[in-house]
Amino acid sequence: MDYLRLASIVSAAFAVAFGALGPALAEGRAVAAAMEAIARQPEAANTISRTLFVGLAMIETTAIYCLVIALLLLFANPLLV
Amino acid sequence: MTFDLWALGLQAANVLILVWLMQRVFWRPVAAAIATRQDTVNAITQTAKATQAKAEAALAEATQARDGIAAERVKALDAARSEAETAAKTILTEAQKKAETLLATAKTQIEKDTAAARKANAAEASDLSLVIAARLLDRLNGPAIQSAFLSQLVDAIAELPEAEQATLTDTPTGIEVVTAKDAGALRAEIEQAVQSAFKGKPKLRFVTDPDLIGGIELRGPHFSLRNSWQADLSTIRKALSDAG
Amino acid sequence: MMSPLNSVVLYQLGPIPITQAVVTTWGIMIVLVVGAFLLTRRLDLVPTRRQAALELVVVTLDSQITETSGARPGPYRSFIGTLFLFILVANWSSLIPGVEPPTAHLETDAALAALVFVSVIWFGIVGDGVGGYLKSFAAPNPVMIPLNILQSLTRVFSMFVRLFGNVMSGVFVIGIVASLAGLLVPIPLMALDLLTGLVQAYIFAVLALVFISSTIKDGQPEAPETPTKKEI
Repeated sequence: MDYLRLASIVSAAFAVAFGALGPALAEGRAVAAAMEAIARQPEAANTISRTLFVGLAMIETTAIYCLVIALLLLFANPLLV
Repeated sequence: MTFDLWALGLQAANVLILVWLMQRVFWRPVAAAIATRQDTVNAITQTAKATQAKAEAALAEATQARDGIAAERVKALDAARSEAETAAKTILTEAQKKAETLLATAKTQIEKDTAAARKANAAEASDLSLVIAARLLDRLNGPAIQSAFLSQLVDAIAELPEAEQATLTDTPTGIEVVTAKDAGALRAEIEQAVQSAFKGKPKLRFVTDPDLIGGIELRGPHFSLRNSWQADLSTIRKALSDAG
Repeated sequence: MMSPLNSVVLYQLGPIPITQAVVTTWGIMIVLVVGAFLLTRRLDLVPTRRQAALELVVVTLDSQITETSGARPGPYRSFIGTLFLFILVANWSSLIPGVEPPTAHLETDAALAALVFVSVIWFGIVGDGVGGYLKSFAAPNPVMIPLNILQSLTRVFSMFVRLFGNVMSGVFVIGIVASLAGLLVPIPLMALDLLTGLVQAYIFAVLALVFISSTIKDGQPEAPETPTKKEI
């Protein structure tokens, strides 16, 4: 086992782990804010939830990017070929 | 990692074809159905609105007509009432007038009747009094009275104008000397007195008439010298009736 | 373990390799078109329950388009709606055993993102003309032109990666779990995968719509300045 493979695996795990941290916090804040907004204005619940979903997807994209990077490191590492 | 450009192109073509097919098969027909229904609903709503407006207009017209009918009816009723009132008034006034005239005629009739009755009463009473007087005078009839009458007769003859005395004297048929009872003993006295009263010597005929009650009268063909109770009584009666 | 970044070539049609994703896409196309054809065969003035459901779908889509973009839904309805339906059915096709969703492969997602990119240009030109479309890059001011050009590429790329990552990760996780414990254990993950698939289809369609409408708004002459969505 060379160091490059080991580093790739560890990096992939780190990428997924730390890439999940930020979006998790951000999504929590977003959902909390949306809940508060819906509680204040229940009649705007439709618009708020639609915007919330779009926003959540945006935030989640960061985690997905990390996942893709991790997968690239694992399965399509250009340095290992 | 593989990235197949052929697969990319195929998938893009697939999705494009799918978009086109779905537009043909799904989105457009359903949207068209919705639009058609909305149009139909709009058309129906508009028709309904138009119909409703028409119905409301008809209703308003009917209400107006009904109001007009009611007003007309009220007017007709008023007219009939006023007519009836005027008719009643005229009838009433006519009746009043008639009644008044009737009353007036009745009053006048009554007055006339009462006057007539009073007159009749008065006449009856005068008649009665005259009869009573005649009875009383009849009882008083005696030679003294006869002589008084005779003297009066003589005075009356003396008062006659001479021409008349002459015509009386010359009367061929003579003068009737009328007494109430048969003169009897007084006849000669009367004859003498009368003949002396006249200038000439008239023919004298003695006639009895119980109607005279008392007194002596001279009667010629054109002339009569009334000197009796009867004459007096008739004069009184005449005066009474004239007064009444 | 097979890399999720690879695609399986089933057979070669001349120079064209036919991958599994393409075949699955054909199947989905057939299902969608035939199903839509059968469902919309008898459309009447008085709707049946089936037609009412179809109309509910269309009306909901129209209202979403109107609320999101403020435009009349007519021109965008078929593109956005078909994108949504196709991605939804493709995501959920993972429920059928042996079928791998075409959206879990790079090529399909790249094709969808490329279609969105082209459609933004197309609708921008149709809505505002070529000049208007080009002017939309200068919003809010000409300094932003390079950033806007970069953004028009990166936002499409981010859509591509987002859809691919979500669906592929779902399939990948389910595959790993199924290889460890094949019975009953993957079921919660599959339910989550269904939810993710629905949300991702919705997100993809809404983002496409937002991009199109923001481009049209930016290209209009005296349109009020609206903040465009910035992509990572």
